[in-house]
Amino acid sequence: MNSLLEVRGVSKIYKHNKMALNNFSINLEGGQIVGLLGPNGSGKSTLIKMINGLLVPNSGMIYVDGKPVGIDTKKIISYLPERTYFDKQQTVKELLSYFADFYEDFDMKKAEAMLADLGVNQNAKMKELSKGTQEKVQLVLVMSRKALLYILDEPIGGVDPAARDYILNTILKNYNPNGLVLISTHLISDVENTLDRVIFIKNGELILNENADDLRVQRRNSVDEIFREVFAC
Amino acid sequence: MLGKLLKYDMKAISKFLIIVHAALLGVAVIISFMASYYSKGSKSNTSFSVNLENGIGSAIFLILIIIAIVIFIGAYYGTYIISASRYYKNIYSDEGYLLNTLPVSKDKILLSKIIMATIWGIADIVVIIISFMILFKVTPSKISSVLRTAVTSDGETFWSMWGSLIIVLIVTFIIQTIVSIITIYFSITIGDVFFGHRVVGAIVSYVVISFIVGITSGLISAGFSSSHAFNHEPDSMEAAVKAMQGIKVVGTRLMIAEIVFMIIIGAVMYFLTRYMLNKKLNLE
Amino acid sequence: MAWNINNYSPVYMQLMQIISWDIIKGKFKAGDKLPSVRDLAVEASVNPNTMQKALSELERTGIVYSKRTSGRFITEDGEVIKKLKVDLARKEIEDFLDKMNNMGFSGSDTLELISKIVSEGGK
Repeated sequence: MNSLLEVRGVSKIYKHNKMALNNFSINLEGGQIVGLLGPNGSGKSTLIKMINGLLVPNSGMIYVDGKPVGIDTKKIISYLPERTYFDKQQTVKELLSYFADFYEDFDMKKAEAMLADLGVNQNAKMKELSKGTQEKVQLVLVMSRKALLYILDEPIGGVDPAARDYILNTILKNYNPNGLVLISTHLISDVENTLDRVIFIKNGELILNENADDLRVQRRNSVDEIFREVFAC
Repeated sequence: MLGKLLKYDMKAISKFLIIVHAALLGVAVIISFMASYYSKGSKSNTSFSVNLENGIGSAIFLILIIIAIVIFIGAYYGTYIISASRYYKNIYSDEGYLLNTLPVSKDKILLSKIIMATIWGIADIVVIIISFMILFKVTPSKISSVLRTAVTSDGETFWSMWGSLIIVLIVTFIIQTIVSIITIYFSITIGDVFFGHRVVGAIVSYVVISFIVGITSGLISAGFSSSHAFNHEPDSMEAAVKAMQGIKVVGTRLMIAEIVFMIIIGAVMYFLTRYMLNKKLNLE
Repeated sequence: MAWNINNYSPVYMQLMQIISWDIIKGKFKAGDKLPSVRDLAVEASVNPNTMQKALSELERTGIVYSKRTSGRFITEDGEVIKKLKVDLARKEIEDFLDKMNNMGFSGSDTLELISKIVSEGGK
């Protein structure tokens, strides 16, 4: 099995003994688009930050393409966080150069083409752009890298339907049979059809890890409905 | 990668600092002009004679002096404040989600910020010195003539007597700048690792560290000042001159000891900061 | 732009349905070359693996065949397409009859009603 992302028995405890992740393990092959689904506070963000090296697990190990989290894995991961993470004083153009400078796999032409599609003025300072446009620019930057593992944290939350389609379309167009796309979201019905596989996470624990269509056949329902059943309060 | 990081670090902080330092130079030039304008007809030919009978002129002059002092303080502290702010913002705020996921080592990130602040720390003092030179109309030719003029009957020049001390002073200053910056970054990181609130933690760490460093430094000084040169009253001109030279030598040795001490402290803090950035980073 | 797919039944089956209908309707003609898996997936707004599975199933039933280096093509076999048409029609009729039954019409009632409406409408 060609393991692209292996999370092995990972736990993370915060202050006051709050367990964000409890002995969590998954092993994902390349060539998939996987949904990481769970309510707020389920441990999704914690897991994602640890894969990216922004948090250190209390126990367990994480491997990306067989390598432990570090500089080598950062080279092959393209991460879209939920928040905007650039220096707002920079112009769009400067941000493009920044990415080109630090990421060998950054495709400048592709990024410029996508920005043109979206009608973004490259000479504008990021702080002059609307929040929605800022998020789109960030998405363009992330998707213009030829990474092995894309991690998208709530990529379509708070975005209008047309932009949502554009985003999902971009994800599908960039599909790499060797790579893995991990989408963390709570807007399940909008993305269901693009997912190969779904992972349910609750209170830091793995609830379910299944092929999406298999799940639909098993439970005779949409993933969204199944999610609501599983996570009913 | 280090070069690229430095490029962006410098870009981020330089705009404001260039403006402040240019303003400092500008104000120095203006004051210097005004001073010579008002001192026309006075006998002194080194700057600062002002004809105070001109009421409005002296009011403007006073305001300019105050502005100059404000800009001076801004320039001097500005470098440290802005560097600290850049360090904090780039690593620990939302920008950290980008910086800390770049495929570069934390070591290079830290080094880049140290170099950035050092460049500006040194540039800062150079600009301040130049400003003073402008203000007091000290030109380079005046300085070199002073340096070359014979001072003592032995034919020793200013430079041969005080040159080594001056060099030690310059080195001390540079090392001090670097270590101050490392102390600031170290405090911020300690604040993050050991305290909930980074800002409060950073300030607390900084105060504690400065205190410890100050005490140790004082002890070293005390150790040196117990030496002969400081403890015997000179009873003749000859003895006085010898005592001066003795003090100069001991003083130089003291400063060199201080330099070594600072380098050790700086290195310790640097490596600790690096370790914490690598292993103890926990972005909210 | 995205194909009309609901989330409630396996996506690959729905894709098979839609492609079959597209063939019958003439959007894809016998012998036509299909777009690549990825292009179809993007057009349909679904996961490429799911589209791949749908196309594999269509291959298995002979509606689509693949030429090693050239891609996938709609079958040229008229018999296969005819059968597909009949199968799709059958399903529609069966669903329709179910609905009529639920309304209380028997099979022969329904047939009568159909004759009447057809002759009225001249279809």
